[in-house]
Amino acid sequence: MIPYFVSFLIGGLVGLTELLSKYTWSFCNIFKNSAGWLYISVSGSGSLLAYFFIVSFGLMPSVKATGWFWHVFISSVLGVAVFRSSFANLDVGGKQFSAGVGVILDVFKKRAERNLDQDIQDSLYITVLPLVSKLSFAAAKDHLVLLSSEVLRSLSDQEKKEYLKGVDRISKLTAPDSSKMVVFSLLLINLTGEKLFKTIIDNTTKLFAEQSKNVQDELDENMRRLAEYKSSIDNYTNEHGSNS
Amino acid sequence: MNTDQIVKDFVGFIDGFEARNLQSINQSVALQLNVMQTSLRIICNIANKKPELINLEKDLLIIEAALNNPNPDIVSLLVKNGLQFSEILLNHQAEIIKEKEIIKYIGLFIKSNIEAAESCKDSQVIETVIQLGDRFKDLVTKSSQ
Repeated sequence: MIPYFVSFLIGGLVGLTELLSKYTWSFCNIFKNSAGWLYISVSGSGSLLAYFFIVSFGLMPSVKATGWFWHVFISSVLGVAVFRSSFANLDVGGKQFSAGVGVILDVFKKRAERNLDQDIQDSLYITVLPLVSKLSFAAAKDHLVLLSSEVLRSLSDQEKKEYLKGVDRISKLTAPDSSKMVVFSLLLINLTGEKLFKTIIDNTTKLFAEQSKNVQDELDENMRRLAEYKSSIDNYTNEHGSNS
Repeated sequence: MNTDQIVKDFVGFIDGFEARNLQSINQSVALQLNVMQTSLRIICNIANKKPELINLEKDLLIIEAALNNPNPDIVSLLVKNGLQFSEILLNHQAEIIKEKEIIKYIGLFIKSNIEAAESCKDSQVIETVIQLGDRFKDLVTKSSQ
């Protein structure tokens, strides 16, 4: 029984490592997420299945002779490889598909990644929202870009270029200023981590709260003017309605 | 995961956000677009019966054609047509102020623009619609003099 358990554990650990390579800062999220657990379990089951077949068909007798651990280890690693392989890449109607057992694991991996992306962004959104409520994207963007580029000194030129491209893309969004601020904050917190993000936002709020308030006041004033125009149009239509 | 990958993933998230946002704006301003098209048609019909308003009709037909063509970028459509309409109101002010019925439908057209701006909350659309509101106010003042 123990060899089967060890085999499952090896496959599961490989699955966990794959998720950790993408979600380095989100160890807890992986364990809280059912799709994450499912992927780790399917990955473990693949290794267990490989070990089961190898034992059932009496394969690799020379490895078995070296002791049960190496037999389990090599069988499990082979299982990991087989369940991540495909024998062909097919192009059907412009879409690419992998043909092979790797497809099975890929389905669970994509589901786990999608669920984890949603979970992580959701928890980041809850963190970010109250912190940036007093900041306007239009007022604070340049300062935030400057400060974050300075703080993230480890970034290569290429990484800085990609980061600035991301900020530029947010600037061009068809969305209210407050939504742009939240989206920008989500990008920033993904790069800096929560602690550094809070420091940066705290500093920016101290410097730009007043300007941000002005931007918000201007928006409120514009919305008030729109409401005023609407009511004057209604008045005019009511007064001249009988002409139609 | 390196910064490149984080930003690339995030750009995918932004694209998704933009697509959902535009879809939601499209849905919420669909009714307003309909009212704009109807108001323009009525103004054109009124203008068509009066020789002195033929040029106004010609100019409005351009906007009507643009509104009838489905455009995926609703914000550009609202801004472009709003600015064009504002210019038409300025160029034909002298003829329009004599026609209270036309002013009424211009009001309905602008009201739909205001409601669209309130829905999408885009700064460019809001600025354009404020300009339209000012023009309407001007028309009403001059027509009552």
